[in-house]
Amino acid sequence: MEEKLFDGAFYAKLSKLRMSNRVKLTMGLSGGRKSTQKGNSVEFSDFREYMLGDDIRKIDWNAYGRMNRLFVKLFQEEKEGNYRIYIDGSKSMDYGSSNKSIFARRIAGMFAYVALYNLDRVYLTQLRERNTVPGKGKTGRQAFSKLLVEMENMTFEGNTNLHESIRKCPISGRGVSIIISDFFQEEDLEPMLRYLAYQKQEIILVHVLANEEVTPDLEGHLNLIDMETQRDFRVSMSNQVLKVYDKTLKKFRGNMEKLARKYRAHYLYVNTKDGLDKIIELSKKSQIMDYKS
Amino acid sequence: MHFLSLLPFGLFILVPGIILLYILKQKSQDKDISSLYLWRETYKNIEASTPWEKLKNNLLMYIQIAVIISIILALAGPYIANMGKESKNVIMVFDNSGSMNALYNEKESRLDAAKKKAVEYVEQWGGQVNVTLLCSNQNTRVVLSNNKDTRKIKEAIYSLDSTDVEGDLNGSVSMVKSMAEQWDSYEALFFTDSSLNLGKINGNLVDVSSQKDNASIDYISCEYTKENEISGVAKVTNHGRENINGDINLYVNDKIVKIEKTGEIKPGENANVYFENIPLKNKEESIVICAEWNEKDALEADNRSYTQLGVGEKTKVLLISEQNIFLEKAILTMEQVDLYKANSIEAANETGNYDLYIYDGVTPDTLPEGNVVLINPTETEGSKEIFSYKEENKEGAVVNINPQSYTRLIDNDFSFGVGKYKVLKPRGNAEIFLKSKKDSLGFIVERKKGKVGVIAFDIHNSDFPLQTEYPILMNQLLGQMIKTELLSEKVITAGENYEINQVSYTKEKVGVYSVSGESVEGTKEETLVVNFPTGKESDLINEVVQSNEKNKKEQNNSIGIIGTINIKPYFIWIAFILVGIEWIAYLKWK
Repeated sequence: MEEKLFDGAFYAKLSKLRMSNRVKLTMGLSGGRKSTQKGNSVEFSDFREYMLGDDIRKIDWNAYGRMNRLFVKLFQEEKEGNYRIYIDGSKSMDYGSSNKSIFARRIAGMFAYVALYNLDRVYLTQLRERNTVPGKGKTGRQAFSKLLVEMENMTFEGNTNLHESIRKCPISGRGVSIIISDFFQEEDLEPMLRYLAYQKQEIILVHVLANEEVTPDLEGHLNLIDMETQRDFRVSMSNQVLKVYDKTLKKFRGNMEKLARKYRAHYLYVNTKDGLDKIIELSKKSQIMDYKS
Repeated sequence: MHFLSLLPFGLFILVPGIILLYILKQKSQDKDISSLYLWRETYKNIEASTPWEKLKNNLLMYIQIAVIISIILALAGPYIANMGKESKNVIMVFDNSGSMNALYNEKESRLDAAKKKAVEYVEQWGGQVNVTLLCSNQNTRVVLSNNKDTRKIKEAIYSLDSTDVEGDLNGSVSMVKSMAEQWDSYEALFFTDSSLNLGKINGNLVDVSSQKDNASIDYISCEYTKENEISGVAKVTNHGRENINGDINLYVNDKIVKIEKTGEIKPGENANVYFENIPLKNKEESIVICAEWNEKDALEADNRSYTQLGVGEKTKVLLISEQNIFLEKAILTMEQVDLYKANSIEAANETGNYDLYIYDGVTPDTLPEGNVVLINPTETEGSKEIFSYKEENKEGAVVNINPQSYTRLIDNDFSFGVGKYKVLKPRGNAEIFLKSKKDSLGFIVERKKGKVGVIAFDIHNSDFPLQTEYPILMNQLLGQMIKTELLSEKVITAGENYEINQVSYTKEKVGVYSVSGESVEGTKEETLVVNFPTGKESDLINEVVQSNEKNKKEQNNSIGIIGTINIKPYFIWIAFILVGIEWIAYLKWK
């Protein structure tokens, strides 16, 4: 029986989450997020002395009474946040007893849910080998159900070049780009990060691996077949080989982490067997999300 | 490095087998994975860190091949030649007794198998070992002495003949012991089918025995029951492990005359088979009778036993002498002779007829009919027809041989001294065989009713009896005077001696022989039958046991090679160590 993509437990977890204020936004339509720009809102930000041309309605008369000088109140302008969620649509994501594709969509759903409930705009895009269709921006809580339908209809095929696919999606203004992938690709990931950084994106790399990839339970002489390319590779398994594999995997993750640090990106590594709790924990640790108080 | 046997190398066929198994085993299973990205990286790391990693995948196979090779080499009996300080002297003793004719396998006899094994050893030594070959049955004979030439040694081994003689290798053990004293070190190899106590000698038995069933005819005994009718009995022994029941064929002069059933004979037991009242067409002077076991078994030579009937009666000799021990001894050297003695002529006249009369120091007035020998005769009426008396006691002389047919065994230069002798002149044609200058001291005169031999001196008054030629000459002379059988024995067991004219001979193979020789009557031909020594040689299911005083080990089949280092144990250890390594490797890399 196919695993249900989003269930009650999933929603229960999400209800208490919210995006952290750490992500600063300066552009976009008015929304529910505090912008670094000062503007018209109820959220007080600062005082400054009155200058000619200032709206006299914003003069703080109480302060004038105490100090006999004119001060105007500054208010933080509330802006709409842009969240771009990219799901790696390659065949390699459709792997594992606890399937990476399902887990990736749940993570995407989590981020989308939190963003939409913060009145932010969410662009969900599946990165495909060909015909990557940029997701349309969706906002409002009612958009979440549409995103879920979109995610449920996703198929995972072919071999995706993440950078090439992301470049096909137009990015305007600051925002947050969340890339959910196993990052198994021969091509260098740095150009992608460089591009996103250039586009003033706060980057979150969610590295999803199946447990079978972290601790492979393989033995004997095997002809390993790449699900994406159908190329094969003969391997004689042994303890030594598995040890080296483990080292290679750690090195791979280390390189990813280094790369993320270089572009001030968040790197969240998760094993599908650990579940969503792990990604929530990591998000909180990285101050991407926190619980509503 | 040399090897005792090349046969185990045939097992190298297993090596490609193992490789083939690995190739088949390595047919890898297809496994879908998300991406080869990490695996490629992994293998780059493996190759970079351990260059031998590629080998490691097949290391178990290499270890298994090495184990197989070690075992094969160990089985081949490897050794390094010319490494020891020991000298390289080997004494090979071949038992060629009767039982060695038994079948070792379907094709070859035990002796053939022994030769084959010995040749294998010799080839392995490659001309580096001094080999002495002895051949032993009841006697031990040196066939080849201290030789390194492989070709000559092999020729000598192949030239060894089989015999049907009873075996006793103890004599060879003594001979080996005395031969070995000349060397600092040596090794003796006894190729035999019998147990042997090697005492303190450094030797080993090479066992060529084979547990085979056998039956033997132990003897056949016959007698005339009527003029043209014989009866007899043959004894059959079952030396095998199962009951036997067969036929015994009776042959007379090679013609089958009767077949009798033996009945059931249990293992280790024997049965007598009787042949009664077998009619003969003609009564012959001498007949050869043979009993034959009609079934095929492991040893053929003991399936026949022979005897003869009609052998002549003994010759009667009368010696008239007061006392002449020299003469008595000389007469007793003759086979088939019954000696009668009388002190005086009167006493002699009271008895019957004899084939030969010997008068010592006395001469009757009338010579009896037949053959007579007169020693130191006196002048009587009877002697006048033989010789004339010239002188009574002539003083000493040197007596020489005057060659005759019966003196052929004596050197022509032979001479002896006589204190006193009588000068006699023979009448008619006399054969003079002893003379001194012109005097005839020994001669034979032919007369109508027999021969008369004369010796013209008292034997006691000469040094003739002290000479080694004395018994020979007397035997020949007396033999000339009487009819004798050529053969001393007419039925013998293989290896036993028979004599012709006092000379011993032997036959080593069973069968019927026609033997000819010079007798006093001229060239004569007689039949000799030779039987198999069934008592010791027919039992083929005895276990071979080697006793050795040095180490009380029994049945030590391992042959040490002189002057070499046996490296077989090292290969066995290597095989064990490799199996251990493989086990550890298997557990570690599983």
